[in-house]
Amino acid sequence: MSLLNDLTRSGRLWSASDWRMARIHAAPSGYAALDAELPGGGWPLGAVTEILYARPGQGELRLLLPYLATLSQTGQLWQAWFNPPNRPHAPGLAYWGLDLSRLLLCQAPRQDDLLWSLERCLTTGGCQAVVAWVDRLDNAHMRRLQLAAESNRLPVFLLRPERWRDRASIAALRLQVCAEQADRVQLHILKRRAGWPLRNLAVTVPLQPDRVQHHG
Amino acid sequence: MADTRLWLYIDFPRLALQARFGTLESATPQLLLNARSGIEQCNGAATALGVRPGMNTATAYCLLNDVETALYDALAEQEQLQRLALLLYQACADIRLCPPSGLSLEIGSMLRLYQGLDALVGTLRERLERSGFHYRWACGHTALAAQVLAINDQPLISSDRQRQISALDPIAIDRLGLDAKDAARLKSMGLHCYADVRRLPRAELGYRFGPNLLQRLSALETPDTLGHRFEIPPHFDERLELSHEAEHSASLLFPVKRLLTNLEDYLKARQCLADSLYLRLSHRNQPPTRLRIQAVQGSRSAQEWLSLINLQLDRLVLPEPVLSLHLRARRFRTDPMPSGDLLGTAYPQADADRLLSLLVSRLGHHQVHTLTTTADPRPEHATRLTPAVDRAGRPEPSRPRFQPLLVPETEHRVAPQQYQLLSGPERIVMGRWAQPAPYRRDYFRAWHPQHQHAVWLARHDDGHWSLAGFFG
Repeated sequence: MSLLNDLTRSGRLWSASDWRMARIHAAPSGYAALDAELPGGGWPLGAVTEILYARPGQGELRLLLPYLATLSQTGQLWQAWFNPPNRPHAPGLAYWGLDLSRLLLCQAPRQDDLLWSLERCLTTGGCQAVVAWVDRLDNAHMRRLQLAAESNRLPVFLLRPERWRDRASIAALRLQVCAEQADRVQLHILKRRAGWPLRNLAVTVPLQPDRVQHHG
Repeated sequence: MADTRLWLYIDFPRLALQARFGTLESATPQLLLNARSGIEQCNGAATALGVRPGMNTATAYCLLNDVETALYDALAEQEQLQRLALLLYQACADIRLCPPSGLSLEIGSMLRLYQGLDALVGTLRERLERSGFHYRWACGHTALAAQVLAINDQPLISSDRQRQISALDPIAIDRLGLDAKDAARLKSMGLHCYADVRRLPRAELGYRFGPNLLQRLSALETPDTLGHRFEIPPHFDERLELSHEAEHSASLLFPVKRLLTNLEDYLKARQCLADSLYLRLSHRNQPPTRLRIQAVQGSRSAQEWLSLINLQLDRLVLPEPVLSLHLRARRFRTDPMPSGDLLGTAYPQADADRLLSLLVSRLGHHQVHTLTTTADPRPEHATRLTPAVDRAGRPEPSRPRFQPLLVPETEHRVAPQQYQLLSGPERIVMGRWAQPAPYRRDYFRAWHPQHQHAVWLARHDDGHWSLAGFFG
């Protein structure tokens, strides 16, 4: 029974009737509509989150920024961003309240360098969160990342092209972003712990942060 | 006031040999030959077979079957002596180098600090044992007396003046370091040991033997220093000749580790940290391979440096086998007290620095950046990328603007009619004083209904439109 309890509590096993009971470590994303559907009530800590999108500017980064900005204001650890496809724009990021001095921008063009660096970020204790733009990533590597993230309770966000949507993935949470308007997206939750997939979750992601929260 | 000075002399009889072949005792006889084809130094295995320093090479070869030989290198011996002095420098302030193979330490002034001779000698012994070098030592009331005792294998460790003086008595005349002719003459007069000479009236001795002998004898009895004082060199600069050509970078790790251990001793003695190292790998024909290794907040631990160097060596393809290594460290920083919470053991800053050092070593200096905003109003110049290891320690002012999150690296022309403009224009103008071509652009936030993304468009002065950024 206790194994069953453990598994249920960590969200690896869930029953359709009480799926919201799973205790998953998570941090609020800053979007109430999204938090309501995410297990644990926010971005999972200690897990890989995959965000699939078609092209930059669809809200893929805006979804993460409220959380990343809040996180960057705490502690002295790095927030490592790997291989962004375009140059991050400092004034725009600062506008969201991101503490730029915590941001570490890394270019790892070779796949083995990237994986090595991601793992190092997760295991050395010098990092608070990892965001990586990746394309191909085989399951064995993904699994290593997932384990590293799990044992160190760190959030890992992989931003990937939408064509990887139908491939199997080990990520604990998979979201597909479909922009509807400039400040409104339809999210498809392709996979989540302790819950069914969910289609067409409308979330408002404004072009600028909620100024009540982030006074700039 | 009584003279409290006390000298300890340490002699390294196999200094050059061990510097050449390493400090591990080998079962194979090892000989170091000098230019006059005699044996300069030999190891324990050779001694056991009857070889002695000073013996003719031909004689030595008659005694040995299997043997490793090398030429005596006085320079390498001196460098090694410096290293040993450095090793002891943390335990004793006044160290004098007595080439070719001795160190003279004034330990009388250190006794109060260590509260006794035993503690000091224990510290020195531990360091010497760790170095692996074969040594012999003795205390003396004068520097020369200590040297004579040490060289004659009289390991006297005592601060008792009477014992020190009387320990000299049985030393044979020809082992006192006197001029060989004088020693022979004294011997022929029936004087066999130091005690015999000590009792003779000095004036008579001087009359017969001249002032040299008197000076030597008085140096044995009155305090005076030997050699020149050891000072820590301002930079760390060391070479290591490899005994075999290294073809693969992985085989360099072991010799590099040897250099790093020396570096660690050096940094400990100076009480500072190095923040970057330069490693030069020399080849036979090709220009040397140079590596720069950085540790963000500085480091002294050989282990930490080794792991950083390993990351670079891993990826290094050698153009040619490596003949020698050269490690330099020129910039140092003082060792900061670890800052962190008093109760816990977590030093988040140290972890962050270590991560950065690792990433920089693996990915390269120019692949890891931090971002800052600049005062420049032009969006393409508003972000400054600084290599993360070069970042300024002070907090940078942040200049937030309602602008996109990502900016394309190159300019893309676009057709504005495909977009729905959401806001704008926002004009950014820069005067002719700032740049030769006038800068005037109107920016619009826009939505592309087909591609479904939110972007920033720029209308240029000549009427064409370009994509200026993505709202992530």
